[in-house]
Amino acid sequence: MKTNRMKKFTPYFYILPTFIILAVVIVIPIIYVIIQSFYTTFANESVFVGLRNYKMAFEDELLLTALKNNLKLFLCVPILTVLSLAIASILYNKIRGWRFYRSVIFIPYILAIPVVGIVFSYLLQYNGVINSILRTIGLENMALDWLGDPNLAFPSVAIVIMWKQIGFGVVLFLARMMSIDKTLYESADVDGATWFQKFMHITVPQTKSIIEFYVIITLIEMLSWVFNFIYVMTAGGPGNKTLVLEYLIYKKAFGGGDFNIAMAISVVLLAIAAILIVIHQIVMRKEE
Amino acid sequence: MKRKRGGIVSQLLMILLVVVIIFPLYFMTANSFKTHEEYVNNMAGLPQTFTVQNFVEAFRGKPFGQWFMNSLILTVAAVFITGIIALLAGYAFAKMRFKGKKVLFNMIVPLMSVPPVVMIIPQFRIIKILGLVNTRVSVILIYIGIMLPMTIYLMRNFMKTVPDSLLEAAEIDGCSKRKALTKIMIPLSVPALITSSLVNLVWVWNELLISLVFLQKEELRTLMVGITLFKGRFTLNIPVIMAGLVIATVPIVLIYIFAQKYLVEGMLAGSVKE
Repeated sequence: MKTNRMKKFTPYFYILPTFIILAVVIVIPIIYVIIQSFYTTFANESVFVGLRNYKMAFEDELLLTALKNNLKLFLCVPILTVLSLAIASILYNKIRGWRFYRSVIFIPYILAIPVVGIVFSYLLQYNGVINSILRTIGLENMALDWLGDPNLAFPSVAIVIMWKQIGFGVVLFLARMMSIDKTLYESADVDGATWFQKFMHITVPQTKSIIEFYVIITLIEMLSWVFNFIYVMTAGGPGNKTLVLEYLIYKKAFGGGDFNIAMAISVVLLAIAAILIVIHQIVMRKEE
Repeated sequence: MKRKRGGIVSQLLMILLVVVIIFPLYFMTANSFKTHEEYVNNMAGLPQTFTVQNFVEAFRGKPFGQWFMNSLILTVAAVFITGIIALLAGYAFAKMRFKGKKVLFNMIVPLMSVPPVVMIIPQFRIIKILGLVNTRVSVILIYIGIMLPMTIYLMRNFMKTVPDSLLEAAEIDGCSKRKALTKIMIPLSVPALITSSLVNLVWVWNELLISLVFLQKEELRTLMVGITLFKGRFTLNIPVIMAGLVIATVPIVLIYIFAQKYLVEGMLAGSVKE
């Protein structure tokens, strides 16, 4: 009898360590951030201030700048999707050396962002290699200050991010395409379909669910995982042109000591992330 | 005829892509073997005066070896513990019956997408309460927490594919749940464990934000934080910086070369339902 009751609890022992750690590392911190975003610290005491932190955060134009930049980063997602699909469908034809190409394209995805960021900051310097190559081939006018010019810094950072992320999409789409029934393509060939027709009428519909996944995952990445790029390459500059929410939170908290305002901004970031996470979960369930 | 021309265009596009992908890596590696003078005059070419002095320089004076060891300790500890905890939870979610199983599992999965920066301030305060400020344990704990949702998701999905009949047969033979786990599940789960651990390994090795915030003592710094600060200190001698980057990258590239299949599989499966 006693052992039976023990047995009933066994599964909970198996998941107990997980829940303790997740509570300490993720769940309690999230609850704490939400609560503390309505408080401020006066003489070591927490005082309830309602929406004051949010008001202050939104009155500061930095928050709007960061929000705008995160939205601009979302533009990388359609570019990455189309590029990855295009590259994957070239490789799908099993052109000579496709395995080698696939391996190479995936390399940036496994590299450390600090490494990538530092290498690119030297490549893109005004006196860097890219400009010296441009000058050598006679494109003097194209030799610009890629990370220092306020108009160029954002697109430059976005390109570095895409350089790092492209491999994931290619390998993901390629894996799905390889599981498409080959007879579909064969019968299309019999009907004399062009490459583009096959792409639009077979490849895209057959990979639709994986494209949905990819888009939502990449949106989450562009919102929640770009801190390292910004920290290493531009520190949000020049003139806050590359400031994103993550970096703003970090700067407010560890640069300025405005912990409560940083937590209000964190809640804003969390809210956007939550929307994306909910969509992600819906897409995931649908697939299951 | 038409097919062949398409082939050439495809090849040219792919070669161009490979050049774009490889060039930054070539730049890093080639320049790590140049003297500073040569770098200034010959940024894009191969090293003429091949020197390993930059690597010597990177280790001497700077606690580079120490940073490397710190990263190694954190990576091994966090990945190992995550694997064990995820194995237990994955088994429970895949093969055991209990109240709230579905709800609890569905609560874990979305946690893998929470932006880490959001949790840093409260984590810092919790670490302070626990008396773990500036310790490796603090960072290992946070890493485990961040990696667990994805790792459990992978383990559970994999273990679900192990036929129940195998476990039932064992139970008829008088195996307890615990024995079924150690004698049947764990051996069968080795590939899934390797796959998820490789993904975790790469993630921890490359991580910057958490180690930057939680390990402020010089002797605890990780390689990624080290090279990021390194850049500031050595801006005049770029080849030394490049040598540092090469050292930081070699372990990851070795993993990629020897375990590409597992690593790529894990990275795909971690974000997408198979």
